[in-house]
Amino acid sequence: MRRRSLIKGLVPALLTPVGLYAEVYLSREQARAILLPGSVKHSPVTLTKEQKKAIESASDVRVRSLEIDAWKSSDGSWLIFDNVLGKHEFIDIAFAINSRGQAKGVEILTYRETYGGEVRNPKWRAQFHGKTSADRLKLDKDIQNISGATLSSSHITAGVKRLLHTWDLVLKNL
Amino acid sequence: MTKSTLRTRCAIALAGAALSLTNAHADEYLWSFARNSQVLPKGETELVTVNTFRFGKNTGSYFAWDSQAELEYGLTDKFLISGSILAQYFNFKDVPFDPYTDRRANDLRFSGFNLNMKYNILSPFKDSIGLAVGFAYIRRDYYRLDGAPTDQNSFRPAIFLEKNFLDDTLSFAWSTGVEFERRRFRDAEGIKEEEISIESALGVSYRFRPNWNIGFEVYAQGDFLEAGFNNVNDLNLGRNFQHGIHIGPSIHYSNKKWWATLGVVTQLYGGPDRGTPDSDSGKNWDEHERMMVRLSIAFDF
Repeated sequence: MRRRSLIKGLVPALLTPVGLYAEVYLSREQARAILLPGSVKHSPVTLTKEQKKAIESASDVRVRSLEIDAWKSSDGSWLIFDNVLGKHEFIDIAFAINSRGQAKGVEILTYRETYGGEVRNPKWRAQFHGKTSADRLKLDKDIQNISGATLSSSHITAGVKRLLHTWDLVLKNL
Repeated sequence: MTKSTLRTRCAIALAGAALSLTNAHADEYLWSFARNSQVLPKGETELVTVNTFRFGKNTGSYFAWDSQAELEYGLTDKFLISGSILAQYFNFKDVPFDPYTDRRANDLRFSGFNLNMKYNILSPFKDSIGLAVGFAYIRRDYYRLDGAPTDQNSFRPAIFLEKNFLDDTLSFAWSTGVEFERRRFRDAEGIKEEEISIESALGVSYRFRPNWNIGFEVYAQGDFLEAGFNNVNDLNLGRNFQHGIHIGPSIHYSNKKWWATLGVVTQLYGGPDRGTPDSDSGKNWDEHERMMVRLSIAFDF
């Protein structure tokens, strides 16, 4: 009986080491203060299946979750807390977009990967400023790749592209 | 060999593995044998230990343990170099080998070293396909199958292809190496051999949750004897002396500091022909075993 209890305790422990070595760079509150200072209102959105399909079709990026953790400011800007796949775990990001659909900025909140932390570099993230859903955001062409951090560069770029189209197809009408 | 001697030798082998350099296929191993096209970023170092346990022939009893410790270093973001040391242990009896093998059963020793390089040409994360090429020099002082004392020098060019899907969570990899081997057996009247060994593996792996991948692979290996590779006018593959195809699953765990992969493959088919002394029921027992278990563990610095 004791052995069974031990196994029951060990198995979930072994299977749940997610975030074991997480590097937290910014809290959500800090990211909000940088990207969208001033008064914001929590405005979460649940995508319909049709909206999910439309975003995937327009952005050519998979939508993994129907839930959008979004905050809206009085001037019509949006702040979204999101995550993209890293090599081992999720990379938590915050993304802000203004009322004209232009990217205001991207912040890396939590990074859990062995390599590729260079995506935090402000100069690299600044490449997204002003981008809209009309931009291709092709890595190595529109967005410079970080050599040695290609997977993270690629997935963050795809994540931003997905969020730009999410604004264009869903958020701008709310 | 007494148990305490064996324990001491095991400890020496593991300590050596932990302290020294090893094999060269870079980045994380999602499978036992198949390798992807990725390399380490510039300035990064990884210590990889690979332990392979081989079991079973068609007669007698056979157990072999191949241990390898490798230190990999990213010279640039695309070019990786590494070095490894090899150790091996055998315990076998009444297997279909030559009579010399009796003296080498139940023995553990350092058996050689590798020097490797791998160059990534295309990245699977931004190009339509991942592609890398590799080259290795391998020195063996003891034969891989039975530990026979040998002087063996090999050169091994290799190619690595990779294609990913579903946000890089579903990964296909194909790797092939051609090893040009030249050896002289030290205790068999100095018999010399020139051989080409072709090794190929195809793997599919899926990241079913953060940190965890599950995979499946097909691994094939064949030897060609009397091959010619001394000069360009004398190039020939020789005759297919033996081959074996293995299949099996693998599971991989990785995080920021370390990763590990455990895989098992069993022999599905082997040759050359049924009914020959080396084959039985469509399998090859001379150079292939019934089952191989491989555990790879790596640490990032």
